[in-house]
Amino acid sequence: MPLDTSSYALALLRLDGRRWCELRRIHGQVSTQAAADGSSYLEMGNTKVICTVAGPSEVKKTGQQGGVGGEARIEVDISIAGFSGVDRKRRGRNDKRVSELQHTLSTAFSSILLTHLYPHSTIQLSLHVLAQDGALLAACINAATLALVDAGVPMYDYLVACTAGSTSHSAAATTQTASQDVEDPLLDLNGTEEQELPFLTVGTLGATDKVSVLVCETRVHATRIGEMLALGVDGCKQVRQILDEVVRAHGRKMVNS
Amino acid sequence: MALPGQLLGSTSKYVPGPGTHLHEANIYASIVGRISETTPRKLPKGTPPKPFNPSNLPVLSVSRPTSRPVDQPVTGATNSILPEVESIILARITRLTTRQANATILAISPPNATSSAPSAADPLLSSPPVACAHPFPALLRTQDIRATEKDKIKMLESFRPGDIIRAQVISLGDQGGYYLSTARNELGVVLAWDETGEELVPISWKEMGTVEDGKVGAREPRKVAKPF
Repeated sequence: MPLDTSSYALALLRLDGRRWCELRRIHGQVSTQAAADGSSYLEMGNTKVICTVAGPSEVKKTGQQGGVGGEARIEVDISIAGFSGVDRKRRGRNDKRVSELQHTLSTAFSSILLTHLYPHSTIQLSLHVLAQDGALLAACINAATLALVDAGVPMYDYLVACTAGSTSHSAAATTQTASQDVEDPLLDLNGTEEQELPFLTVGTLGATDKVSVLVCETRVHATRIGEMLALGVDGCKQVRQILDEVVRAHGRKMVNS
Repeated sequence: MALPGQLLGSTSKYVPGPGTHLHEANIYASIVGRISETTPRKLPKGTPPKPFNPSNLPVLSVSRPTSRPVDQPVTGATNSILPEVESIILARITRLTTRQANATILAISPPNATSSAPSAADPLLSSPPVACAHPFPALLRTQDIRATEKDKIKMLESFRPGDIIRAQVISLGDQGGYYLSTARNELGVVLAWDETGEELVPISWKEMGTVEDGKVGAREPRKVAKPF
C-alpha cells in the first residue's frame, strides 16, 4: 500500500509523530567491546548498528600491501543480520548493495582519517546491522565515527551523516490551486518513508557545511535537491551535537579513571 | 578535554604536537584526550634553534589515557595486563610435540612485582597474579626447559598436557604466541595430575608422585618447580 503523505501538511506530523525537521531518537554507546581497539553501538530510531575497529595494524595476508602511497588502507566489512529487516533476505558475501555500502564507507573515511601516519597498515571496520528502519548508510557512518574515535585513530573531524527526503502532495492552500504541488523536505526518513519517497544521504565533516558523502539512489526532480541537501546538512549538525555528547560523556569517564 | 576537530590554538602561538593536526594556520585536535602544553627549555646562547620549532614556542599535544573503561566489560578487570618480557606467568600445557610444548597463559604477575622481587624469591608471592581477561597462546621449546644438559631433554619427561606451570616470558614471539622458559629452579610444573586424576606432589626436581597414607605411590617424570 503506497504511503499517503497528503495529511502531512495538514497535521504537520508524520506517521511516527515527528515534525518535518525532527530527528528520530539517537542513542549511542562507545567502547562496548573490550577485545576490540574501538567499538560502538548506535541506534537511529529503529536502525541499530554495532561497529568494531581493529587497527591500525600490519597487513595480515601475505603478499598484500597497505594503502596507496604510504598510507593506511581502510577495510570495511558489513554484515546485515537476517532478522534485521522484514523481508529476511539472505545477503551473500558479494552482495551488490553491501559492496556499495562498504565502498562508500571506505572512501569516505579515507579522506577523514590521518592515514599518512600509518603507512603499510590496515584499519579494519566491522559493522553489524542488527535492525533496519531507514537511514542505514547514515547509521553505519555515525557508528563507525564513534568507534574510530574510541580506537584513537587520528581524524580531521567527525564524519556525521543524516538522510533527507522530499514529499510532494496536493495541499489545499489559499494561495495555490489544488493541482499545484507543494514540496516539503523531510529529515531522517524511516523505513516506510524511504520505500515511497525520494531521499538522499548526506555526510558532513563536523559542524561545518563541508559535504563528504552524498548518495542519492532514487529519482528526484533537480529542483528539490537543493532544499533536501540544505535540510540534510542541518540535520548533520544536530547529529554531530548528539554524538559529541556521547563522546564527551565517555571521555570524562576515561579521563577520570 | 579535547575532541577530534576541536580548535586548540593558532600556529603563531603554539607548535603542533602528537594528537593534533594543522589546518589553515590553526591547530586542531585529532583524538579524544587531555590537552597538554609543554614549554621547551631555554636553549643556551650560541646553540642553533630546533628546525621544527625555531621560535621556541610551547608545544600543544593531545594524549589519550592508557586505561580504557568498558561500558559492558567481558570480565571483572577493566584493563587487562599483557605479558611482558621477563614477567612470570602461570600457564596450562595444552599440547606436546618432541620439539615444543604449546601452552595457554592463564595468569600474569604484575610487572612491578617482578622488578622489585629478588631472583631467588617467588615474585608471585609478593603480589598475587592477575588472571588474564582472555587466554594468551604460548610456546615452550625444549632448549628452554632447563638450563643444563639441554641436549638430553625429553619433552614427555618434563611436562604432560593439563599441567599448570610457572614460567617466564623470554620473548613476545610471533603469531604462534609468546615464548616461555622454565630454565630456573623456581620455574616448572606447580600442579599436575596423573591419568586417574589424582593430584601429584613434588618428590624431587625431576619427579612427582601420588601420596597414599604417607607413602609415595606411582611416580611420574616432570620438570618440577622448586616449592617455597
